[in-house]
Amino acid sequence: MASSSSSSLSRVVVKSSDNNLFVVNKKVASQSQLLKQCIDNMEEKGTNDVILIPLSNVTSNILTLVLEYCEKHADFADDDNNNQELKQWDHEFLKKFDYATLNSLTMAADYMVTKSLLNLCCQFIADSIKDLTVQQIRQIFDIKNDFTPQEEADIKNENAWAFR
Amino acid sequence: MESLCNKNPNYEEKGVGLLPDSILVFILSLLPLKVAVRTSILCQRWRYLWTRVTAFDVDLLSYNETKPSFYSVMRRLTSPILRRLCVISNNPCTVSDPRCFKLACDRKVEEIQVTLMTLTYFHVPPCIFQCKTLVNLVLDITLFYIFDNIAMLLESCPLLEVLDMNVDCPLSSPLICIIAPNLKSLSFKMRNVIDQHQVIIDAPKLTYVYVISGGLVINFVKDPTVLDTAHIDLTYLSFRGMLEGMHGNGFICQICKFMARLSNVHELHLESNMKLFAYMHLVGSMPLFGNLSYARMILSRSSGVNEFLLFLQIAPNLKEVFVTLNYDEGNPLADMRQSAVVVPGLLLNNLECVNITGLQGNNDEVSLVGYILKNAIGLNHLYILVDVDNAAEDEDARHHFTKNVPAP
Repeated sequence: MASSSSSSLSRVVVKSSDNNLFVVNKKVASQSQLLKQCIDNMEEKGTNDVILIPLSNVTSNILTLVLEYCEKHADFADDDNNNQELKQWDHEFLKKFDYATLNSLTMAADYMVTKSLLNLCCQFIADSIKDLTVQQIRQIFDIKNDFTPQEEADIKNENAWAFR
Repeated sequence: MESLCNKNPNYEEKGVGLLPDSILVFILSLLPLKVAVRTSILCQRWRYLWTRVTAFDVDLLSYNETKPSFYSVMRRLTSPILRRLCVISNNPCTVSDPRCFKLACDRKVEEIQVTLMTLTYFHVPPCIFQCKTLVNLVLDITLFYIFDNIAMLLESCPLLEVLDMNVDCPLSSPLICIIAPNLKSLSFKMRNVIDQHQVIIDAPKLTYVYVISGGLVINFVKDPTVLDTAHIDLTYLSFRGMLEGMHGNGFICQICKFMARLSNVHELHLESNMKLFAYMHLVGSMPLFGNLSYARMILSRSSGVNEFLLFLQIAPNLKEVFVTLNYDEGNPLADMRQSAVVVPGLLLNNLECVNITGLQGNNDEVSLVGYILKNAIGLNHLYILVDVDNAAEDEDARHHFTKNVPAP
């Protein structure tokens, strides 16, 4: 009979969409609910083999970043007191990326169900667009204005309080 | 890492605009509503995204005449959930529409924060205190009515973890019961003493308490055993209350009982212009703050030194302490019999950091500093700021200190 303790896995292998393999420590992988779910399922089945988890939506560049985040947060998982240091690290971590990378990272965090990373990315994006003009937001997000001048005037009129 | 990302053309093309709607709505929910609404003009796809946000965060301070109707804007939100309702205004009319709060409560609101920057009455809609989903309630309003059954307050908000409110209001009942099984942080502020109110707290998970005790007498049903930090401001206490205190059953006696219940805390902030510890000493009921390692106090000039010395006696594990002497006198307890205080030197063993500001260089202060230097064997940081009005006095005080304080 396979009890869950006898088949406890210590590491998993994660495969990126461009077919690169990453060996990930279980504690680090558990930062992602998606990976954790896979591991839990395998452990329940009592598998002793190293398991391979393919992530069809995440490239190795982005996966490297997600795993870097998970590794850091796994280190702090048992320790509430270092929150300040971790927050600082989070901020420095995201500051490095352009919007395109940030975008992919956000999507990966969503896909891999790494809630704290998703929150972090969204908060970072929210903070960075808070003080921008409409034109600047369009530019950064590469959004094409597909409104006619009349439509645009109507929208402004409809929500006049927000456009003053 | 960055160079790797740049090699992949996929990541250069895609902007944040390509995130799925659900994530964009999540981002918009983190923004002030005004900013979220403005994104409606970006392009067709963003046109109505903002109406799906789960937060209503508006700052109405900059609107004078053409205020948006709070309720009509809120009604445009289509999400069945409204997590956060956060309004800042200087006009009670803009936030007093009870339909808004009703709508928020119906949509399972978790956080309500109302800031009203003006002296006015505001009727808090009763539905707030019956909201089953509420976790976080902050009412920063100088004067307001609470509905009549405040006695039953919050019993109906089982999830409440943070309660922060001013209670500068005439209440229909002098008794306020806070029964909150999950409450972690309680801030209860009464600056204007209108009447004496009895507050009874039953909150077994309370870790933080902040009380401005204008006319509040606070009792805990059970000792708050997990309380970590207490911030108590006694400087708004009424004179009447303190006078009654001299006769046994009034405020000061109650305050002392309240302080005794806080004796588990690790961190204490105290603002006091009365001889609190002297009173405890006098009546022979000094609580022991055995866990206390950090304290920050603002005390009155004349009695502060004595108060501080008395306090050191009941906080044997204190590591770090900040004291400011600045309140002026003029309270009826100032004349209370002053007993000379000597703290056994043993009790200062754990002190590592002492910071005293507002000193004027009188003999009491000099002996206090000398005493600390002599007995606090583990001290590694001592900061003293002498604060006097003119340069000559300053020179005197400096001289006095340098001459009389023994070198460590």
